[in-house]
Amino acid sequence: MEKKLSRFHLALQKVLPSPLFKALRRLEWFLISIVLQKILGTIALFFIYFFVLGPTSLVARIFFSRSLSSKTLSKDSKWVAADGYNEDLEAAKFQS
Amino acid sequence: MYILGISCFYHDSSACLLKDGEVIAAAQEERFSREKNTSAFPIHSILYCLKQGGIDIKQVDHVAYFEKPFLKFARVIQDHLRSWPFSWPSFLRAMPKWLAGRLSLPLTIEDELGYTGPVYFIKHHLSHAASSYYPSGFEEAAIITADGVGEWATFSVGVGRGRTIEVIKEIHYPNSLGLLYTAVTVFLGFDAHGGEGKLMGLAGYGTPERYRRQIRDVLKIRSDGSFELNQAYFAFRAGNKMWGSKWVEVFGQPRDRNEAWTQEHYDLAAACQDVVEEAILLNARLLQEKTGLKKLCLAGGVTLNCVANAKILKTTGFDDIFVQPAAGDAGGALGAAFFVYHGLLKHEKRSRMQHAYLGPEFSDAEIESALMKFGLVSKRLNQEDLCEYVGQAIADNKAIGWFQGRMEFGPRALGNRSIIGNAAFAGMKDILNSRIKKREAFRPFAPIVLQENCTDYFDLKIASPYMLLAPTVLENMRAAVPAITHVDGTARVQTCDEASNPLLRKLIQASAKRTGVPVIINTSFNRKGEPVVCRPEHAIECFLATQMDLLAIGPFVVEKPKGALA
Repeated sequence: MEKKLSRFHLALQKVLPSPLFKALRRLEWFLISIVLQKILGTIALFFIYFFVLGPTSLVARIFFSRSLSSKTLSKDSKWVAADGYNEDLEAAKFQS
Repeated sequence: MYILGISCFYHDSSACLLKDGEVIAAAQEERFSREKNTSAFPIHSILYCLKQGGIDIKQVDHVAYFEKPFLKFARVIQDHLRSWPFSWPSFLRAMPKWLAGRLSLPLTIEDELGYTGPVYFIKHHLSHAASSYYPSGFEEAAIITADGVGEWATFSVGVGRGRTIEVIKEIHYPNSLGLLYTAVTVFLGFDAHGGEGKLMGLAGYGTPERYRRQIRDVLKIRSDGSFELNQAYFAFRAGNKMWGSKWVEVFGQPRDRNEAWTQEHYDLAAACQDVVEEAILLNARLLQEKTGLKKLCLAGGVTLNCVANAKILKTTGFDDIFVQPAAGDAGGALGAAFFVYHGLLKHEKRSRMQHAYLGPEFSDAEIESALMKFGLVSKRLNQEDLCEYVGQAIADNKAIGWFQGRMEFGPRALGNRSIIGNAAFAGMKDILNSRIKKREAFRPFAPIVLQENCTDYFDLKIASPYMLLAPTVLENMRAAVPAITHVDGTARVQTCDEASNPLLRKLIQASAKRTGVPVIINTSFNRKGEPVVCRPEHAIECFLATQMDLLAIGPFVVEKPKGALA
């Protein structure tokens, strides 16, 4: 890896002007961390979406389909009872 | 007691500071960061509020946030469950934002401000309701809130009495007037969260008949006031785009933003405005009949629709309306703080919001230093002379930058960060458009009128200090104020009284002596696509970059330098 990076650097040094090459070297770890974050983040989200949300979605659709639709006051109306507004100081500290 | 209100992470981030229940400062983050409609944590706004209050963060007793993040997150996750696996692109886009800040607000506040005290999370529509009812000055009032979506609610009706607010019922996502309005806005080539006002202006050029039947299939309104968005037309639940194939089948391809306007576009805008008005008016009427109340408070982004607001006043049983000047999400910060003070801490004494000039102001020395930095030659005048000088410039049909006092809170420029001109001169609209604003020709410019002269020109019985009512211009007066009359005969009026802005009144009086009308034209002090100016430097840059004739900034008057390029 070390050797490959060095070759990579040498190649870059040949094609880039010196100040740009130096600036890039300073940014290197920062850029690597961003790229890693993007790659690892995407992998983690892929896993969550397809292996956690996916099965949950299927189960919910089959067994709990009503939980995915809102509960209206009556069949002919779209009004929903306004719940959870009478909070006290302690309850208001919760984010849900 | 100090309460800091915060709204952020979606659009129109803002902060406000309450001292013993009175607003002493409020500002939108975009004015400082210069990123329009920014969703960033409002660090600059918070620092400004603390500075204005003369305190540091340790003296803040409570922090209030304008919604419940976990509830909203649950709604987002439910949408992904419903539309799995098609929502993968939107999941990938949205989750980092949620994980990076939206779900960890107390940590963000601690990191950014060093505040470790209590943080209260107030439901989104309750924040809207509180932002309108508590500062309204009404002892009791009916309340309607309407926007795109909060946690689940998109529309709610309620009643305020004394220090309590009772939300009676609400309509839940995905049934939303705001989302329909935004869908049509984007479909016609405007930006979401900013282009909705343009759609309202565009609607004046069309008639709803052509698309009436189709749009009523999109939004089904029931006799009890509830409504349903027909999901066959939409695709936003998967999060990738607003509308689906059926929408395109019925309304055609979306307009490219550079495409020429056609009558079909105007008519679609008119149909959308018409159906949204119908839903709001029906609910206002039903709520008035049910409660018997005569006062109404409105908040939420949809209630920035000044055409609908004026119709509520005219066609329902309400005889007075208060619309929160920052009716969109920016005002949520204010509402959350008010609710903590009155609703949770149970303070009875309420104070009426006197004006919306809650942002920063700058000393004469700061303004002078900014002028010198730009090498501008200025004249310093006392208030009387300033108003006479600028009044004459208005009569000479000049385009004038007017930068005075504290900046406005909310999306409208209300005469402290405004570009003004002669409302009696028919060509003024074209001058402002071609030289400065460069905006679409169909968009109207708004008038400011002296409060006592309002009924002489407009069919409006109450004050409209925040430019949130668009009444009809009286037919016999339309020729007198041609620059501000929209194609449908309405105007988005701001009334000016002595208590809220004495300097602006003096200016209008000085102008009226010369033009014969106590009305001036007013538009926000900014260039296309930029937030309204905040600091003197922003105003000077805008002045120099456009073909504005004159800049009245504090006590200083600057003529455009000869040969200056714009």
